[in-house]
Amino acid sequence: MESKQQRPKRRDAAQRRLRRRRLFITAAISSVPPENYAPNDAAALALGSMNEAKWAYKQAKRRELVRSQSEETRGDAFVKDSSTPIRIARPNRVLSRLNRSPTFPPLVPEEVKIESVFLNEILGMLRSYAGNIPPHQLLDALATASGISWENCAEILLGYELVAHPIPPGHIRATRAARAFRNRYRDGRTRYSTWSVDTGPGRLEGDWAYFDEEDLEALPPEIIIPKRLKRRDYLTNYVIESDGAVLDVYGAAKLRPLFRHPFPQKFSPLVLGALLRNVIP
Amino acid sequence: MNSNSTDPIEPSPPPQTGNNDAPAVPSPRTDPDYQPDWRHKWFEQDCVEVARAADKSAKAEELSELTKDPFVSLLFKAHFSEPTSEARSAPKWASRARDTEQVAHIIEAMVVADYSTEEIAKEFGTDKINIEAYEKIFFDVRPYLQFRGYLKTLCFGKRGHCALQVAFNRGYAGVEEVVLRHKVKRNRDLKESLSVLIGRVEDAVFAREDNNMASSKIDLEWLLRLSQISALNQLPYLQDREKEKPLTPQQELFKKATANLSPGKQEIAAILVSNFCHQAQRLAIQFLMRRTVSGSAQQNAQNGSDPVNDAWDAFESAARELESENGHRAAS
Repeated sequence: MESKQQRPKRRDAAQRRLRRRRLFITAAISSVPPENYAPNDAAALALGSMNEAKWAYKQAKRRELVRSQSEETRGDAFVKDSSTPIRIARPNRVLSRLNRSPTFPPLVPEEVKIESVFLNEILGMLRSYAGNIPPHQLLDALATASGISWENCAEILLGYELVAHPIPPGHIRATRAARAFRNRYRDGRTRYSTWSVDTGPGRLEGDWAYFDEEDLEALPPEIIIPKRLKRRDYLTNYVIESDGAVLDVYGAAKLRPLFRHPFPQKFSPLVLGALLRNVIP
Repeated sequence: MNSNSTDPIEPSPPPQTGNNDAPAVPSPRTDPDYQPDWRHKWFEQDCVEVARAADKSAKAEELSELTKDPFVSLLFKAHFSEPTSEARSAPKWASRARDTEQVAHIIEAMVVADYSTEEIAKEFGTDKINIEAYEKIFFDVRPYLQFRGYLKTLCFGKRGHCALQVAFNRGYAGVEEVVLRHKVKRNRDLKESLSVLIGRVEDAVFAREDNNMASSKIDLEWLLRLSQISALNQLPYLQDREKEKPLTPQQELFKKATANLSPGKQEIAAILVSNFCHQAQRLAIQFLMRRTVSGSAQQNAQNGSDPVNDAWDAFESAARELESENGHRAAS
């Protein structure tokens, strides 16, 4: 008798669970088209637990938001916001030197303003800059504009006498890493502008970008984030200071300050390399 | 650039020069690590040679004449001489497409899914010649689409990306659906949307295989849930897994003591111990611990060490460790 009473209850519970998943997935794929889910997100949505499914939906929604805006309008809502910017307290913790990345972003400018893709034109432009900017920045300009590999660009600069001495491989690596940082930060800035429109924290003062866990770990490669400071997504503010630059990292969920990653001038790979060469002949 | 001069479907023509030192045109037949942007790499090498030469313009002219490949020669002329803007437009479009990562990814996925150059050009609202230039300079893969082994190493290798993987796994239909997102005009019903979602799940499963990930608990869960979908045509429950309860100190001790036993023996020991009173449980666990320690001592004996002394030393140190960890008089 007792088992007969329990069976329908169990069936009801099973039905409820099925309905729950069905309703959640229906809502999720009506909001974000199913083809826009990354494979792992789709698996989490269809096969994962409640938390995994919710997280996958949130990820896909954010990705969809960034993608659905045209290049021109991305971040416009943020830029056009004329309200007084909000200043957020900076993190107190400073990432230890051993956990920091060797990347030094101030080595290269924010962007390279060379429109041409043809080598003779690019070299013509660089010749006019040659006396005014350091060799590693000439290298950055040539490699970014032409798409030729960095090592070959260094050879071309030397061959065309735009630089007096061969650019050391360490300088080439450091410049390439700095450019990669700038490119990734630009993408993060785009994501931030979309995120800020979506979540509406107001206009924050500074140069903000948004990264998820994987992206932040790739932004300055070799960074080691302490376990207790790990989050699923982060906001970062790139601050230029008198002694280099600092990347302030915040948790995106509550805008909680996490840590600073300094890029001090004294640890610039070019300066440090020269110092080491003097000390260790 | 004359679009009729080279047929994009056929493999690149062999070198047409009198230069015997010119390297052979690479292909997956001759090079297992074939790079689809070999023309651009050749061009880069030529640029370096020109830069090293004392008379640069003469060297540039010489290299463009001694062509190893018509497209490399064309690229060279576009970069070093001053041809008409028409001749420059295709290499320029190709370079811009390469710099705009998304465009490059879409073109490459469409090539792998065997779209024609006309179809690709139509998607981007550009001329066929620009797509041909992109393919020739940066992604010369079309002649080798039948080599699935090579394609797989390309799509899932260092140069691979998500769109390429979709194109490899699901072909034309996958690219239409996932990369180009061609939407149907009518509203989709849930079943249709779910089939698309399940397709993406399939991509995730393929990715786990391709990344050579060892099978784990996650695979088993996925398998169960996927079989539920296919057998009952129902979606699996949306519920969280039960969180594992933290072990009591007694359980932790038991786990440590039986770590060397097989799962079956562990289960038997657990049943036996659970039937004892508290005091007896403690003694039983100590007994198990002694057995574990003397087991390793026997191994030492085979290596020539004193089994009794080693066993007691090991047991004493294990007991001291237990004592310090649990606050019991485990060594009594």
